[in-house]
Amino acid sequence: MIISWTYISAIISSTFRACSPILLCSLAAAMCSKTGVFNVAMEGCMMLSAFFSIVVNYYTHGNVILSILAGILTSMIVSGILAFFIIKLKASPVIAGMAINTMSNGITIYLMYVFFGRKGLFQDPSLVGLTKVTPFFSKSLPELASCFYGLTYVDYLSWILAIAVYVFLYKTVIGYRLRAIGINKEAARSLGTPVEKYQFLTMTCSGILCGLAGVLLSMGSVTLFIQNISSGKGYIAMTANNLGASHPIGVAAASLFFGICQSVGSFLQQTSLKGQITGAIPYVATILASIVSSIYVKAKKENKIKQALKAQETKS
Amino acid sequence: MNKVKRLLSSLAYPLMAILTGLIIGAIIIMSTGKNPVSGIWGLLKGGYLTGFSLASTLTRATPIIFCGVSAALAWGSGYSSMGAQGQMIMGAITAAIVAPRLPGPDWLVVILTILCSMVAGALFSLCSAFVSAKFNAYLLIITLMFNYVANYFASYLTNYVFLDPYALDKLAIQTQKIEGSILPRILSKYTTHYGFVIALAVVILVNFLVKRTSFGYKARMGGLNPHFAEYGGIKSRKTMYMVLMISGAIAGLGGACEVLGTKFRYVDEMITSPGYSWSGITASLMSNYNMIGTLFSSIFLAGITVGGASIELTMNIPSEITQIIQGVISMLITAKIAIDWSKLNKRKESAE
Repeated sequence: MIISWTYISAIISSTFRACSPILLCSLAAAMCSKTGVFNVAMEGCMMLSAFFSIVVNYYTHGNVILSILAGILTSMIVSGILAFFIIKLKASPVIAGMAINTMSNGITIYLMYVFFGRKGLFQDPSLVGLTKVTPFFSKSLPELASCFYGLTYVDYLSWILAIAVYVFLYKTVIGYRLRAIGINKEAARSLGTPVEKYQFLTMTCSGILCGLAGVLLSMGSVTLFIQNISSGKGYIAMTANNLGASHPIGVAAASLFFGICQSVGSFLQQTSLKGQITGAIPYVATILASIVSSIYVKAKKENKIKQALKAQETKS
Repeated sequence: MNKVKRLLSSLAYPLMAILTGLIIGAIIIMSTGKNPVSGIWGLLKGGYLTGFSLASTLTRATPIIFCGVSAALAWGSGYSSMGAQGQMIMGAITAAIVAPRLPGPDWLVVILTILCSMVAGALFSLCSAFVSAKFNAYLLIITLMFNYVANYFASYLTNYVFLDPYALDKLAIQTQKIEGSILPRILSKYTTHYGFVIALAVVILVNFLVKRTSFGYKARMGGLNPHFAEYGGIKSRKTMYMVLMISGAIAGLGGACEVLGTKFRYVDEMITSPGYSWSGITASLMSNYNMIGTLFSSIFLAGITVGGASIELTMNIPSEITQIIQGVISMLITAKIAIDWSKLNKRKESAE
C-alpha cells in the first residue's frame, strides 16, 4: 500500500462527505436537547426526506431545488407529528421516535414499490444530483483543492449551519429562552415563556436540518435511493450530540471524528481487512468515544475538586 | 366481576389502538388503488384463520415472545434497552456454532446449546449494561451500537470462519446445517416447534419472578421511581445488572430457538431483517410490560406479519404495510391519550 498525497486527500474529502449528514443531524439533536426534548427520530426523518427528495426529483425530471424543498418539508412534517405526540400527547420520546424510525423504513419500501414498482434499490439516469462545487483555488492550488473534491453546496452549508445554530442558541434572545427551558422548564414557565410552543417549534425546525441530511444521502455523492439508506447515521448523530455536550461547536468536532472513522473504515476495506470489520468501525468508535469522554469528564471533575481542596489548604 | 371489569378497561385502549392501526393500514391500501376491505380481511385471514396460517403465526411469534419478555423485563424496570436484537444474534450464532460440534445424545446437546446461548446473550447484555452504568452513557444508544457490532461480528464468523462448505447455493452466507440435535415440531404437519412451548414456560417463569419474588419487586420499584427505590435501600446498580443479564439471557434463548427450531443454521441477517426486536418491544408496550399480555400481543403482531406476507403474494400489496401498522399502534399506545380519556370518563361520572 502506497501512501501518497492523492490517497490522503481522497480520505480527507470522503471524511467531509461522510461527516456532513451526521453533523446536520447532531445539530438537530443538539437543538432539541438544549430545549429539553429527547429526539431519537433523526434516523427516520433522514430516511423519509431522502426518499421524497428522490421521488420529486424523478417526477420533476431533475428539478434539484424542488427536491431539496420536498425533502425538508417531509422531514419538518414528520418532526412536527413527533413533536405533537411528545409534547401535546405526552408520549414517551424514545418509543415514539423509534416507532417513527421503523415506520419510515416500512413507508419508504412500501412507497418505492408503489411509485417505482421495485424493492430495495431505485436508480434512474434521469435523476439529477446536487451540484458539486469546485473550490475557487482549484487552479492555483490543485493539491489543496483535491481535499474538497466532490463536495456539494449542502456540505458547505452544513458547516455554516453549525455556526448559525451556535449564534442562534448562544447569542440571541430566543436562543437564551430555549436554553432556559432546557435547564428548568418550570422556572421558564413561571417567567411567562410559552414552553410547549417553543419546544414544538424547535423540534419542527430541527426537521429542516434532518431534511438536508436526508437530501445529502440520496442526492449527494450518489444519486439513488436504497432501502435503509441512513443505516444508523441518526443514532451515531445522537452519540455525537452526547459527546459534544449538545454544544454546536463540540457537536461539530464529534461529528468530524465519526466522519473520519467512517471514511477510514471504507478506505481500509480496499486493503486486506474484511468488510465486516471495517463496517463495524464507526459503531465500535461510538462506544469507545462514550467511554473515553466519560473518563475525561470524571477526571476533570476530580481535578477541580483537588484544586479547590488545595486552595483551601493554602488559605488555612 | 370487578376483576373482569378491570381487565376489560385495561384492554380497551390497546384494542382501540389496534383498530386505528388497521384503519390507517386500510387507508394506505386504498390510496394505492387496492380494495381496503379485502386487503385487511386478507391480512387477518392470512394470519389467523386457517390451521396452516395459525401455525406459521405461532412459529413467527416464538422469537417475538422471547424479545417481548426480554423487553418487558428491562423496560418495566426502567431500563430502556434496545439490545434484544444483538443478544439474540449472539445467542443464535453461538447455537449454530456449538450444536453441530458437541458430542453426546441429541437431547443433551440441545439443552447444552440452549444454555450456551443463554450465557452468550447474558454476557453480551452485561457488556452493554456495564459500559452504560460505569461510564454514564445512554443505555439506549449503547445497546443500539452493540446491536450493529453483534451483527457484523456474526456476519464475519459466518463469512470467514464457519461458512458451510457443502452449501448447494454458493452465494448463501450460512453456517453448517445442524443434524439431529434440533427442537422438533409439535405436529409434523405444521412448522410450530417446541421453542413455542419453551417461550410459554419463560413467560410463566418471568411473570412469577416479577410478580412474586423480592427481586421482581426491587426491579419494578426501580422502574417506577429510581430515586425512591434507592432511598428505600435498593441497590440499583446490582439490580440493573441482574435485570439486564436475565433479559439478555432470554433474548439469547430466543436466538437459540430460532436456530434450532426453524432455520437449523445461522443465516446472515436472519435476526435483523425480520425486525423481531422492535416487534417484541411493541408487544411489551401494548401490554404495559405485563408478561401474559406480552404473549398475546406478540402473537397478534406475528399474525399481521404473516398475513402481510400472504397479501403480498395474493394481492400484490408490499408486506411492509405491517411495519406501518405496527408503528401506528406503538405511537398511539405510548401517547397518553388513554389517561386523558379515562380522566374525561371520571369527570363525567363525578358530574353525574
